[in-house]
Amino acid sequence: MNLFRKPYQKLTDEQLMQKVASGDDKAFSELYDRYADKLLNYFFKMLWKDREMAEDFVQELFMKVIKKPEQFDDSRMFKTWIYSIANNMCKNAYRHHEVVEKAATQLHAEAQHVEFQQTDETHDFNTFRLKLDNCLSKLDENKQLTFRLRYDEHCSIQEIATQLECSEGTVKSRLFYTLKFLNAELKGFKHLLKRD
Amino acid sequence: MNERFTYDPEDLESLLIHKSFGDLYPEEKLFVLKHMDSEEEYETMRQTLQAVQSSSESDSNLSMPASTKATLMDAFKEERKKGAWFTLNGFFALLLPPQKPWYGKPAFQLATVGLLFFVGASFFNVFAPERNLQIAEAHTEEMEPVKAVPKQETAASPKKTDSNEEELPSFRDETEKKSFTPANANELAEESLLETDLRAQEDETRFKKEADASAEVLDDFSTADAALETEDMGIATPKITPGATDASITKVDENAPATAFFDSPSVASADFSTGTEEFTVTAEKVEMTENESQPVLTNADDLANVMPLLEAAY
Repeated sequence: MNLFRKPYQKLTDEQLMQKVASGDDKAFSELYDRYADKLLNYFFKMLWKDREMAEDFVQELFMKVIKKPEQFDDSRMFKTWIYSIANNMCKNAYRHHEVVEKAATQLHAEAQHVEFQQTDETHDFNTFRLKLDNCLSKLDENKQLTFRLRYDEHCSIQEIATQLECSEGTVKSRLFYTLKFLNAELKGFKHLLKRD
Repeated sequence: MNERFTYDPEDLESLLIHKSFGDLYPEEKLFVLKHMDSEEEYETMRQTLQAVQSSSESDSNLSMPASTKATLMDAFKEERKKGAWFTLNGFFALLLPPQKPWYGKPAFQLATVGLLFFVGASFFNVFAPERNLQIAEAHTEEMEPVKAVPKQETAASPKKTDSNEEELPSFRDETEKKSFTPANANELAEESLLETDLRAQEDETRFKKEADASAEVLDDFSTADAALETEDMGIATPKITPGATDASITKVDENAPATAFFDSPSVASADFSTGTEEFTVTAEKVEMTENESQPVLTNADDLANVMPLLEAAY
């Protein structure tokens, strides 16, 4: 019988999710392998570079998949669905623990440190990334989520619109103004950017 | 053709990634300058975007510890056990599991098997005439009580001669064993008709005897406070009550028993509440009673009205 079965690696996310719903542990394992690291990086960026928290969030997210697989709608893309859950978890983290301001303050201090280092001309991509995160944390959560989904998770405009439950035009507009804002904020890295 | 191609911010992003300002077509430059102040801003935005993309690619190198996967797999198996228990305990969940396609659901499979069985059975019934004959044989067995004809009557049968007296039982046995087939249908029908005639003759003789007995009883019926009770052995229990002023008795046939008709409900007893009724007077069914409380002819005049009619009938 296995001769006629597709290997799990060749199945789509949606097909794997259907198998997970029917209790197939190999399908769950495959889905985990596909998304666990991506989600870890996503949470890591979204949750103030707290790796432990990011790992906890990934585990919590997959527990939701285990507990309620029937909530997945076959007509939707699995990627969209799982990132929607991840976004909602991030929003809850921001709202309920009131860490947004705390993180912003923390990151602002880090940014000042970066500015100080910038004078020493020790710029590299790590510092650029830190500054970028700092700038993004100043934005409202919707713009921040949109930008991260677009450039960190490489989601399409349509996928982002579905995940954030807004129109594609809104997504495009948010991306453009975020980019414009970052351009203004990251002027200090101009020579670095040119070098690249 | 004069209509210009329209751009939106997503296209701007695409332009920023793929083209420098100098590479833009004139209409693209116009579109870009609608959203940006200058060529310089376009170039810096382009560099920023490229840096963002490369930085995001460079720092996504974290990976989950293996222990998390093991924990999740255990949790998944635990949850699966719960799900299996629930599925086994749910009758409809067992017949119509939601995960399976419609053709894989046991309910549909069972229904299909049932349908095929029904169609197959119907097919064999239609194309197997021998089976229909078997049904006719079963019906013949119901006619067996007719064979219990008294010896006296069967003796009158022309078939019963001294020479074939011993053959008759064997003939009976043969009919009992024989199945009903078109070949012996006429033979069986003739025998049945013969037995019916004999029965009719016996009944006629019995009715005559009963009628004679009734006449004898009516002769003795002269007391005013005598009770008259009739019984219909087979159909109903008609009873004559006082006040039978409108009664009339007719005798249809000399050999047949007398029949009395009552036109008024008052004539009948409680058993005759529907108006005109008919009953047969026989020797066994009419008798005088003095002590029985019902039905009793208490009025001698009423009885006097009825009696001449009854006598006239005989």
